[in-house]
Amino acid sequence: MAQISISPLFLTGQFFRIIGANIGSPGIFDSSLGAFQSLNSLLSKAGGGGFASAYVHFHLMKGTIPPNLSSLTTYGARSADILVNWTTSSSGGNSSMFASTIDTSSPVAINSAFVNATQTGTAEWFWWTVTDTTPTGASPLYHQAIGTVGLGGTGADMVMDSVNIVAGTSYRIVNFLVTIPSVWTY
Amino acid sequence: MTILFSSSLVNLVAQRGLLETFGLGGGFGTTSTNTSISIYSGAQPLASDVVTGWSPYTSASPDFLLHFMNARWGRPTSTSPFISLGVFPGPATAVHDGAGTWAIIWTSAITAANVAGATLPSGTFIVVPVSDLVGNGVIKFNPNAFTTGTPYSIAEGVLGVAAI
Repeated sequence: MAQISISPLFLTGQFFRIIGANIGSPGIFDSSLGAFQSLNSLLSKAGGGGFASAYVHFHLMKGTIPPNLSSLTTYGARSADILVNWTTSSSGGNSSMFASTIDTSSPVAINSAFVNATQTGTAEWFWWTVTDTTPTGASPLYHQAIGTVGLGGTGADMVMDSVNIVAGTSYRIVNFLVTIPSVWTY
Repeated sequence: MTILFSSSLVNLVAQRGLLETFGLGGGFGTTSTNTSISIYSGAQPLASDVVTGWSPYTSASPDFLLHFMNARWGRPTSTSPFISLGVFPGPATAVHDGAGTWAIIWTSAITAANVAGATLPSGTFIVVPVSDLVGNGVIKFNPNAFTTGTPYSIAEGVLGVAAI
């Protein structure tokens, strides 16, 4: 199997641009979705956007996690199951929401500000989306990722001290580690 | 479960990862940054192997075959599912006999003198496969067998998103 490997220094320079917690999107104007996918980072910093408003939503979700992304085609696909919504945007959002994220080394450590839960329920999975300006239920997604949520020792992708979420209680993301691989095969 | 990312992430990595590192800040076109490409025979190492031990990979090594300069990368549109050589480097003369199997793509203008030196020329590079035209190399030659003293040109240089 053919393999591409990236030197550590090369890879380090990519983290902050791909995650983008503390930089904005570059000022390139292109109206196609594909271009937004190219240019809007995963945690586009508020106020840093140059051409489009990338809205970042990191949702803590109840209910069964989908087996794949095929049913998550729009921003509103599972909106009824959102327990907590950490959000910012590259245009006027909360610039401090993910500012404590460390995205200059691997694994990237995602941290957030406190946000109140909007519903009570059991956290089962997370849904990380990047959408367009002021997303509605039908808005397409530039980027998305899903993973399981659980207690320590369960093998969940995101570990919590308790998965019992209470409406009105404040929660934050601390040290959610995401590794960007240095070796790719094809 | 493993975290599932949308395929759009590949596009993001291609643009804000690879192309920006190669000097193309956004959108599309060809970079104005001259990069260099060193061609080797033998087993392909990891990039981390090259970083931790440069001496087996200098141009004095019998596995070192060719060194190209002034290669520029780009992509034709902002949604193209690949990056490719937009400006091909001129021919390079083989310094050893052998079949090219892997390459170092330097993200800056690394000279022949640099790769002859005892110090790693730059810490910013990727290690990729090399093949003939029908193989699956990122860098392709026609053919990929080289004879000392003979000049050769790169036939194709494509890093597709399916390979990223």
